[in-house]
Amino acid sequence: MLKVRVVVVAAVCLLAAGCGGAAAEDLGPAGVSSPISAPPSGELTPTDVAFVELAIPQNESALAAAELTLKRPGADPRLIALAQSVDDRYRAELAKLNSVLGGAGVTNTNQHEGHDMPGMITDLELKALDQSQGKSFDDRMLETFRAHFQESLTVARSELSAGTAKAVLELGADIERTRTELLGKLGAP
Amino acid sequence: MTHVMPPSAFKRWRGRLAVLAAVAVAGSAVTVTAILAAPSDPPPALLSKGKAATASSIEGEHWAARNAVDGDTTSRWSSAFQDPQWIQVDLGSESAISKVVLNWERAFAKDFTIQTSKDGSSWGTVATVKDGKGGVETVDVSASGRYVKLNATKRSSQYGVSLWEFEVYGKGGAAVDPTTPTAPTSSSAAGTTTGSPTTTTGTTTTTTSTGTSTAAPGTSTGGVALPPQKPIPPNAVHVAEFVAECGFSHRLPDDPIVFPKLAGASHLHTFFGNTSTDAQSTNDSLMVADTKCNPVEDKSAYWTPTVLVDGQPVDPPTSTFYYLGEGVQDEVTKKIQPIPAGLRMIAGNAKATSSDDNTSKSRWDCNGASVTPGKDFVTCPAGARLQSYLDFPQCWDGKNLDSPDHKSHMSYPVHPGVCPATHPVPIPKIRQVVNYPVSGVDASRIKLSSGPGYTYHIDFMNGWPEVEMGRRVRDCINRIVKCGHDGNP
Repeated sequence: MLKVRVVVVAAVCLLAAGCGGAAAEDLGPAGVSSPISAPPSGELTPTDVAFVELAIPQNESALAAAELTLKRPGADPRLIALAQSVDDRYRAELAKLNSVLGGAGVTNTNQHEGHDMPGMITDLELKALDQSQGKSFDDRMLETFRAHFQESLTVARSELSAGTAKAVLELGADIERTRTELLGKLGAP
Repeated sequence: MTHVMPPSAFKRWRGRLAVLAAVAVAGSAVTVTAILAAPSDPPPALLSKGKAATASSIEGEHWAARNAVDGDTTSRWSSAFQDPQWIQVDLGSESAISKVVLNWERAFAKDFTIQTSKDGSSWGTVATVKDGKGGVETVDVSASGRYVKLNATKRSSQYGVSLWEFEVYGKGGAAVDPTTPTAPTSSSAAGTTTGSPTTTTGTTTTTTSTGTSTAAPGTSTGGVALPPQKPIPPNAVHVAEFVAECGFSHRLPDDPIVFPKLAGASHLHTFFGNTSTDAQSTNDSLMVADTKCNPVEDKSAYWTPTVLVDGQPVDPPTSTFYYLGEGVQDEVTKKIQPIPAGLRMIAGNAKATSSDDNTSKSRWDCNGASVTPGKDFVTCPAGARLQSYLDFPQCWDGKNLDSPDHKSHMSYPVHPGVCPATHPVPIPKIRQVVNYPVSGVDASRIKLSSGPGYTYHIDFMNGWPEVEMGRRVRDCINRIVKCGHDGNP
């Protein structure tokens, strides 16, 4: 749908440029109407692709935070249990996310890796967490997870309302369910 | 500076030319059959003039619904640029209605229905017109009601629908037995035009002048006719430039280019210009929204990461967007093409990792103090404002309005001031210059929602009407003349 519409627009504007501009004749391949470079993503829309490409680094950053937690046997048992759940669920999700992109022939451009986006726990934040100790570490990590779950939930719900590809919608629903459950485990702030 | 001609005024001007042309060509073929009413009855009275009119939307404050019932054929109602639209008039009391005369502007409705209602909420369709030709269109009806509504379901062009006059004729106050309404439809369900009663076919249309002259329907988006070119004034400045000054509009964690339709998926952005921009925005939605740009023709969406001082957003009141012919040789400048409708692009790199990163295009300095510009934030003394410059790439691949990374369809020029073979089409270079109300603040306290100062970037979705963009490129850029906000030298 989108693909077709954009092609039409491109053709129209080239025509317009040819009509309106001076000396248009030797500029640009005349009559070009090749498809807008939507990735060769099969049934994935740009919304679906954007969601998966954001969910992957979100998950990776949360896994890094979980790993940091699991390296601290002295941490709050509640936090350790949470980190263990994240570790289990997120690895499975990550595999699915990557396979959805791969299956659609989309190369993950890692557009958002290392980028400060919603639901992502940045390297800077991880470093700061790593330097904190005892209860301070526990509290900060719990709040970091909470923010991550909430932001990840927001994005998953946007996918559920605007995405189209079945496989991605299923992933979005999984993520919505998991984040809600993990937030439930966290309890009220 | 000469006067600004808003697009609608321009359309009107164009429309009049079309009418004049049609009259000249058609000559004696022009007939005014609308006046030839049935001789035996007293002529129906104009019931709608000066009555209360409302509409589904207006293009702007100058195109209010009341303009269509004011008896003045130089003022008009014009809708937003979308289907469907409606306009209705309250006749003040139940009336017998015998005809509706539609005096269309060039932007007319091809498909529409006429509905009447006693109470303004339950409507019956009394006439259905398919493939109307615009001009002055008379629709004969036999109906009654206090409210009369035109439901336009298909417009003739990319513009909205517009009426110089919406005239309802009949007998006021004499409530005739309603032979209608049938098939009531809700006011919003303008798409359903099935309920045309058999008693009133209502499609008798008589056209006085326009109609055939008003461009081939359906092709009007393709050929953009530009207005005549004005001569270069003797005092013109020979710099290829036009400009848009766009006010701050709003902040949202949205990015319709990188995260289309994914609300809340982005770091915080500061939006300029188009006031509607959010995750759902499309090029079409931008074109029917409001803008904080001068000129008002520029409906483009411009957005940047939000500047944070001590973690708190600081938004500039406005941002300047220069459209420039510089950056390439003059011979190339003379051949610069209009920015294509629907183009999206990003300048700068939100993922730049340091001030040494060549992919970072940011440039921070102070307006009002001399400091060494840097890719990261600088400390501006009290009285000087933190300022950013950023140039968009100006060579287009001629094919793609966007690309997976939202950048690779565009390129910066290459030595010696030409566009590379991979991106052969030169377009104006957009340069953003923006001043933040940040003075006397140590650089260490300033961040972007995307990270350090070198991650500064701008996203652009083209919202210029093709005529306005085409005219400015032809008159300002290609002629290497400095133009103002109105696009005139």
